[in-house]
Amino acid sequence: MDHIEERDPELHAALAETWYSPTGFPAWCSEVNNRPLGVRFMVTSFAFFLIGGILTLLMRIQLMVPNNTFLSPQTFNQLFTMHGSTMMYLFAVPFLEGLALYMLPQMIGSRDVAYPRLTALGYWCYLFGGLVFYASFLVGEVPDAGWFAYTPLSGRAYSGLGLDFWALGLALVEIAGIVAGLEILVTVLKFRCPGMSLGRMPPFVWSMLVVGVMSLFAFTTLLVATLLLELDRAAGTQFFNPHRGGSSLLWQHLFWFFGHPEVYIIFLPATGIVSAIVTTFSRRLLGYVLIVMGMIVMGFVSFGLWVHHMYATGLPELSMHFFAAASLMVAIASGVQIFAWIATLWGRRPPLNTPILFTIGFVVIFVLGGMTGVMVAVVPFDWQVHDTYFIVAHLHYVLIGGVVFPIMAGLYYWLPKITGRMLNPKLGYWGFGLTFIGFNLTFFIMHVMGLFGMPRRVYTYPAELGLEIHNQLATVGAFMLAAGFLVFLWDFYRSLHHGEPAGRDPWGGDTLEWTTESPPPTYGFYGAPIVRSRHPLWYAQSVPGGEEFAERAAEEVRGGPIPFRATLATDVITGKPLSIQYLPGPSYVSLYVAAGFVVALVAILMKLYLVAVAGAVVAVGGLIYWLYPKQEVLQMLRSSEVGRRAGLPIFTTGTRSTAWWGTVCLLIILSTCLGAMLYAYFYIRLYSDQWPQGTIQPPDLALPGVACVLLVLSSGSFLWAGRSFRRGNPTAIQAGFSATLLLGTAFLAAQTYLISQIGFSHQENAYASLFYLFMCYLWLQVLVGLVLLAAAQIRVWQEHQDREGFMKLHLQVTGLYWHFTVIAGVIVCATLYLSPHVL
Amino acid sequence: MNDSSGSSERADSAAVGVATPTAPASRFRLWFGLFGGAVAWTIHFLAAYAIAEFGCVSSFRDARFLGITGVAWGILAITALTLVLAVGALLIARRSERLLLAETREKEDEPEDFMVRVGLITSVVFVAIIVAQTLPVLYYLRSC
Repeated sequence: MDHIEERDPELHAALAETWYSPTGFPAWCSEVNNRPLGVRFMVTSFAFFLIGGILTLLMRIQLMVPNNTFLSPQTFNQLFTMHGSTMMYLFAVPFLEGLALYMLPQMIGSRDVAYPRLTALGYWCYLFGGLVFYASFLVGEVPDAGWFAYTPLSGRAYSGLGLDFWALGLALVEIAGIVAGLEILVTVLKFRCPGMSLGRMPPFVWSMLVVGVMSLFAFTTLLVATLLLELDRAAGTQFFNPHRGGSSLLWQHLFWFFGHPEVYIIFLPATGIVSAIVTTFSRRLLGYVLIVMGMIVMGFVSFGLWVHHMYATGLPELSMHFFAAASLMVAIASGVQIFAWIATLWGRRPPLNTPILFTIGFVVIFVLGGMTGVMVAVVPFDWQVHDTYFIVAHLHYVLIGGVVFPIMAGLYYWLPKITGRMLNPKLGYWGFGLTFIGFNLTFFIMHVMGLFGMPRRVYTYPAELGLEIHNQLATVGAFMLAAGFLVFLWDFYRSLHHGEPAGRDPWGGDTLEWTTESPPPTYGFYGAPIVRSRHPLWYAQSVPGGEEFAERAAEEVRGGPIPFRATLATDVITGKPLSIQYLPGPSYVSLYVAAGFVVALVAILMKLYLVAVAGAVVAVGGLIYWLYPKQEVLQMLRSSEVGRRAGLPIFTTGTRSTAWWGTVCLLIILSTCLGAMLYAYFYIRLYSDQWPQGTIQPPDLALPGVACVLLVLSSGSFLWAGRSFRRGNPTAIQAGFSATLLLGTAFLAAQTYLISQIGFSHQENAYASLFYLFMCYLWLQVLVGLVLLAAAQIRVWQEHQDREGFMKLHLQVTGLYWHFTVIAGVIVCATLYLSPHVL
Repeated sequence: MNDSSGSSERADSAAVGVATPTAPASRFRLWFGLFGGAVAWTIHFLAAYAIAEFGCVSSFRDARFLGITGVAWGILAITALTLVLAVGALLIARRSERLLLAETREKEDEPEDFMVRVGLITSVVFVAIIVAQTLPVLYYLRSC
C-alpha cells in the first residue's frame, strides 16, 4: 500500500490554491475541473432519469386496464416519445460521460482531463439541450414522433413545433456527446500516469477508450441526420420527402447507424463498471485480454448492425441476412465477457454486498436480454414480433439490465469515493430487491404480451385481447421498480448526512482512485502516481522505460514548484512520461459559446433571425477568443523551470502533443460528417430514375474543375511553406503562406460565384437540396481553413524563430486541417460535378 | 523484426528514459497485429454492404458469370481480399508473439506482449465474423 498518499498540509495548500474551485454565483459557472463537472453531469442526468421514470408510470397507469381514458392518444404519443428520448439522450449517455469524466483521471492517475474548457462546454450544451427538449411542455407542443423520429411522421406535414424542439435540443446534446468522446479518447491516450501501459489499464478505462472512439462516429452521424431533418422542416429541403425524390428510409439508415452503436456506447462502460466490481470483490480478474478483445470487437461490429432495426422495411434479402450474420456474431464478444466474469467470481465467495448484488442482477437480466437479442436478429422471427411488446421487453432487458443495473452497482461502489460517505447496506438490499423483482415483474411478462400480439406505441388495447392481468402485473412491477430507485435516493440523501466515513479504500480496491482521499481533492494526486502492475494497489512489478526517470518526472508535477495547473502527458502505448502538459483554469468562455449556440438555435425556432445572428456571433467570437493563444500564458510556460528540472518539454509537437490528437479527432468528426452526406447523396442517387432529378441539367465541369485545381495547388504551397519553416527561411515561409491564402481565397471566390449561379432552388427536389448542402458545407469548411491560415501566417510573421516549440505545433495543426479541407474539396467536387456525368 | 536489435532498442530506451519503446517498423507491426483484423472487417463490411444494397437494385444484379450474379461475385471477391488481410494480421501478431517470447521476458502485462495477445484473439474473431457474414451469399448466388 505504498501508493496511499498521506496528506501533506503544505503541499495540499499549494495545490488547492492552484486548483481552486470557484464558488458562488456567477463564478460557479466558470468551473472547468473534471470532478465538479462530472458530478454536475451525473446529478443532471439522474434528474432527467427521474422525470423519464415518472412519464413511464403515467403510461403504465394508462395501460393497466383496457380501453382506459386516463391519457389521450396524443398525450400517450408525447409521453413515450419524451420517455425514450429522455432515457436514451438525456440520461444513459450523459450519466456515463459524467461518471467517466469524474473517475477516469482518478483511475489513470491524472490531474484532470485533456481539455477542461471543452468539458465545461459539453456540460452547458447538454444542460441547455435538455432544457430545450422540455421547454416544449411550456409551449404545449411536445414531440410525439418517438425517440427515433421516423420520417415522414417527423416531417412538417405530420409533426408540429414539438419536433423542432426535439431536433434542436438533440443537436445540443449531440455536441455534448461528441466533445465528451473526444475528451475521453485523448485523456486516456495521453494522460495515463507513468507505468500504466495499455496492458495495465483498468477495464473501465479500456471501455471508455472504445466508447470515446465510437462517440466520434455515432454522434456525428446523428448530428448530420438531425440537421437534415431540421432543414427539411424549416428550410423546405427534400432529403426525406419521397414525393420530391428524397427517401424516408434514408433517415432510418442514418438514425440507426447512430442508434445501434449507441446501445454499445452505454453498454460498454457498464461492462467496465462490472469488471471493476468483480475484480475488487474476487481479488482477481480472469480473462483480462479476452475482456479487452470483446470491447474492441463490439466497438467495431456495433457499427455493422444497424439494418437489424430495419428488417420490416423491405430491404433486399441478401442485405438483411448479411446484417443478421453480424448480429449473431456480436454475441460472441459479449458472451466471452460474461464467461470471464463468471469464471472470476467462481469459487471466490465474494461478499454479497449491494454492488455485487446489482452486478449479479445485471448478469442474469442481461443474459436474458442478450438471448432475445439473438432471437430478433433472425429475420423471420423479427418479422413475427416486430412492433410488439416482445421488442419492448427485449430492449428494456438490454438497457435496464445491461446499463441501469451496472450504473446502480457503480453508484454503490464509487459513491463512497465521491461523497466520502458509505451507503447503508440494509437499504441497499431493499433497493436491490425492489428493483430486481419490480423490473422482472414489469418486463418479463411483456415477452408474453408481445407474442400474444399486443402492439407497442398504442395508447390502449381491447379487453378481448385477454391481456388485462398481464398489464396489471406489469404496472405493479413498474411501481415496485420506482420504489427501488426511491429507496436508493433516500439512502443517498441519508448517507450524505449520517453515512459512515468511507476512508480512502473501503472495498480494498486495486485501482488508483482508491489511493486518494474521499472525496478526492480537485487536483486529484499530489504527484503523478507510478503504476507497477495491472492491479497497482495489490501488486508491484516494474515501470516500462525506467523507474528513476518516471519518478523524477512524477515528482516534478507536484504542486509546490508549479504556479500553474499541469499534469504529465505520457506515451500512448507504454505510459512513459513525454511532457508536462499545461491545463487552463476556470473560464466563462465555455458558457458563452454554449449560450451563443442555444440562443442561435432557439431564435431560429422562433424565426427571430437577427437574434439568431447575434447568438452565432457570440458563439463564434467565444471560439476565436478560446482558440487564439494567450501571450501571457505562453510567456509563463516559456520561463518555467519545471520542464528543465524534469527533463521533459512543456511544448511538444506531433503525436506527443494533445493538440495534435485533438485536431485528428476533429478531422475524424469532419470526415464522418462528409461520409454521412456522401451516403445520403449516393443513396438517393441509387433510388432515382434519373440524375439529376427533374428538369435540372448535369452541372458544367469547366469552372469547378479549375477551382478544384487551385485548391489542390494550395496544398502544395502549404507544404512548401512548412518545409521553409523547418529550414528557417522567413521569405520562403511568407511566400508559401501567401500563395496558400491566395489560392484558397480564389477557390472560395469561385465557390461563391458558383453558388450564386445555381439555376434552381434548394426546395426543388432532393438532388437540388443535396447540391446546396454540399456547396454550403465546402464553402464553410474552406472559410474556416482560411481564417486558420491567416492566423498562422500572422503568428509566423511574429515568431518565425520558434521552430521547435509552440509555433511548429500551430503549423502542424493548421496543416492537418488545410490538407483535409483540400481532400474534402476534391471529393465534393468529384461527387457534385463529375458523378452525374458518370453514374 | 530482428530479435536482438529489438531487445537492445528497448534496453537502450529504458536506460536513457526516452519514450520510444520500439522501432517504428516494430510499432507498425504491433498496431497492424492489433487492428489489422478489425480494419479487414471494416473494409469487408463497407464493401459488401455497398455491393449488396446498391448492387441488388441496379443492373449489376443481372450480370452473370458461371450462372452466379455479379453481386455474389463481388462479395466473394471482397471476402477473399479481406480474409487475406485479416489472416495476415493474425500471422503477424503470431510472429511478434514468438519473437517476444524468445526474449525471455518475465512480465505478462508488458505493453508489447499485451498488444500481440489481444491482436491474436481479435484477428481470429474478425476472421470468423467475415466468414459468417459471407455465408448468406451462398444462398443468394443466383438472386438477391
